[in-house]
Amino acid sequence: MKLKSVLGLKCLSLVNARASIQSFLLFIGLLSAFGWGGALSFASAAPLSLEMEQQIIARRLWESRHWEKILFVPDRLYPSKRSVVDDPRFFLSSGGKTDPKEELLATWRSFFLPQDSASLDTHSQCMFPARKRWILRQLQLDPKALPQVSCPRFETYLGLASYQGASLVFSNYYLGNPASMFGHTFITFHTNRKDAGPDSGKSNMFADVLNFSAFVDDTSAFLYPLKGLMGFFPGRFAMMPFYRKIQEYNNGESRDLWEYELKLTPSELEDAPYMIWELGAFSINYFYIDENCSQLLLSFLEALRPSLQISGDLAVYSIPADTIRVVVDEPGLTGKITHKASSLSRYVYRLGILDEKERQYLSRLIGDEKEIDPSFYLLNKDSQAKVLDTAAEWIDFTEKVVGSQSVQKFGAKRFQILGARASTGVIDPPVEIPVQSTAPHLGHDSGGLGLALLGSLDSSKSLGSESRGPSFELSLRPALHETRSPGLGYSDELEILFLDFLFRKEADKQIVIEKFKFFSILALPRKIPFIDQNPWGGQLGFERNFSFQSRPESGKLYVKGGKGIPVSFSSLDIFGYILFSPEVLWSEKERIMAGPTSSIGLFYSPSSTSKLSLTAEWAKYFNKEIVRSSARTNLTYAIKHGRDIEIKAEIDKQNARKEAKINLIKYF
Amino acid sequence: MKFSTFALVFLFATLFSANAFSAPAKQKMKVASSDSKPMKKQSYKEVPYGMAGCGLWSLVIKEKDKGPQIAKSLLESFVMGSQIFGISSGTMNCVEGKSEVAKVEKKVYISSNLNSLSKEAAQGTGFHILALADVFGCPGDEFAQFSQQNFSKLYHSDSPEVVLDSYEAEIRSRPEMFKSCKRAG
Repeated sequence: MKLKSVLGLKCLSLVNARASIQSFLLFIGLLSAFGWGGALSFASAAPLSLEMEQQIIARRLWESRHWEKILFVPDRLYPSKRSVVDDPRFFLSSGGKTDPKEELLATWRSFFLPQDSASLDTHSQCMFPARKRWILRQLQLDPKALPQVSCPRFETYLGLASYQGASLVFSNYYLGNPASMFGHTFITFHTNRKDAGPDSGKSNMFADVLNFSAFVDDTSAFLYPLKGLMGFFPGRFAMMPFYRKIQEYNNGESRDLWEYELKLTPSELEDAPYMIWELGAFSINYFYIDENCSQLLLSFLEALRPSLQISGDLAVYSIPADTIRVVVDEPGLTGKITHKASSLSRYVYRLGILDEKERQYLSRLIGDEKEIDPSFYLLNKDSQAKVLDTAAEWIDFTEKVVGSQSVQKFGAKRFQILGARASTGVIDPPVEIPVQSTAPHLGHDSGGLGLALLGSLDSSKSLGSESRGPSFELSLRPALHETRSPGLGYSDELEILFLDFLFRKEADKQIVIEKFKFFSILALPRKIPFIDQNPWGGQLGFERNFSFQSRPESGKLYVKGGKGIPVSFSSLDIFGYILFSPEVLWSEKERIMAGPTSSIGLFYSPSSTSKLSLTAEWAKYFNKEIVRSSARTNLTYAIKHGRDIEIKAEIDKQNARKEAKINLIKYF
Repeated sequence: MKFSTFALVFLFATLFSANAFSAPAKQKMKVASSDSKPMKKQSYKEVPYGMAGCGLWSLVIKEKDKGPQIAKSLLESFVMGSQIFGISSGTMNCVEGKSEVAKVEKKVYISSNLNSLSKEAAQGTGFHILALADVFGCPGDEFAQFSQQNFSKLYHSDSPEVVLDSYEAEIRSRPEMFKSCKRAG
């Protein structure tokens, strides 16, 4: 540092053109002349630098797909070599973000720069080890051919980052946070723990998580999606122990984790820490729609295995579960699928194996009873263990118990329960606890395009008095899943619709937008004994034919949201909801109105790929002058064919209009 | 038609907002490129090298700021009152984080998982307690059974430090157990 300042040669860190290389050689000569022998290794490397640069140019190495992937250039629908990394410091040339050639040459030259002894790890060989590794491989050079630099931090990191496997992990949909509605994906790298116990590695608890996420500010939940859409949050890769994510997701948010083993080769696993190190310090603007955790992880996998062509599959927008499907669809890339159960899944499993008597004891244990009733100990040890395990899971779910957080309400009781559980001496054989969710790769793609043929059920119209010819509806949405569809890969308890369009073409009429939901969220937790969970939902959108008194062409802009109660006929395997939602609307004729909406839904799934649903909604809207009322009912039978085809048969009554529909949906 | 127009405009505005709003970034890059010297815009000395803000430290800081408080004791007793992790110097990063995690892994692990550990210790099985066996370098099933049998001695406190001390003491007091646990202190 001092040396460079004295000689006024800071520009040497900015080499890019041949002239700069010449300056560099002159500098080496000066150093030699003044007897600074420490720099001679750079002098001897200079001819190599030029010779290999010629080879790089002659072989046009920058055209290699692998080089582009190391620079994080994703596959796009249009020709572009633009890297997704936004931090200018990631690029050693001024045009590096869009010009792989310029960046490759600048990178190569930078390897020959002297190292700053005051800041060793800032040398490009230390900061960009993945590039260095790739270039040396291409030129078939030994690392010793380059000027030797010391990278203590990187070397320490590398010593700790010895991986024997990897998984792509999906954290299930979570409606408690707008950022997590669509789920989340991250990669775990399974560590080699050299001095751990003989059972090391079984659960991958100590795996390193590679997570790409936005660094959010204190934006309100309402603004979060908007800012996320517009890329206002910087994103960055970060690492943390897997057990930390397990606490956060399984326990704190009660989300099932699905782990898909990635069949990476030893060489790819060896390359991973180099890529991680190289990317870790730099920010990538986080776009909710495309440059998000899903897309970036696909790009990361492509950097490890450039023959993969997966980032282009989600080039327009990407949703975490799509990442899983894209990766699973790639032949030979994934292996075993495992899961880690959320606190709710664990509770439901434990509850499911209790008999009636045991459930009664559970009810008393988690009720007002301060001490465990002595009669409880009359149960056999296995029964005691089952009840106590269920009670502990109930507390953990109810209180969202994580880490070493104090258990507020049931702390003393939990300790008592665990003490009693330990005293039973019962150790159950290992069991993979079933989860409430289904594997995300089984779900349909997130976008849906549907075409429906309509037929009026109004006897006067069916005689042909008004309508001539068939009517159609076209539906289009980028995301995600509705409750009337079979829940395989998603959940029967969740609806997330985003930018959901329904176009309608009636005979002799113009095509119109019949409905548009900017978003619709519906959480329908099932009724589970001793668990207090209520359905809730919200919608923002536009809709025609919104009341009996309005003309069918008349539309409303509306927002509504509310809570309800779960409904369950468990003996018939039917579940549902009753929801009460205040609504505010605006229409051209009626102006602003508001009123209560109540809705009911019942669902029955004969199989994992079919579903029968009955929904109904009644509403009254008021303003100072008028009252409007609305009623609708819908009976739908939906059946899934393969992963991405769905057929829905519907009978729909919306105010004065009664129709039958047959709807074919292709997910993409 | 007014509504249709509105909805369509809204759709396109939303769908293309990502590209539209990335335009300033492109512009910024162009300005940098138009610099008379075709050279790097900033010295990469300024880069917070190597996974800044990652590893243990990001979680500790994050816990402090927001989100579920996972490692309460870790935060209070290790980090906030100590300089050993370089928090105040701002030099913490993945390397230091991981090195320190290796040194104090038992405490970090127990702090991050205490409630899961107490439950699985009582059950005498589970992947959290088996992973704790790894941390102590003990055979898993034997360690889990030992945890169940000595539950009241090991988990009488909700302090991770006390739980760790209890484990160390109980393991030391059993020569055979101590012998089979490679990392027991």
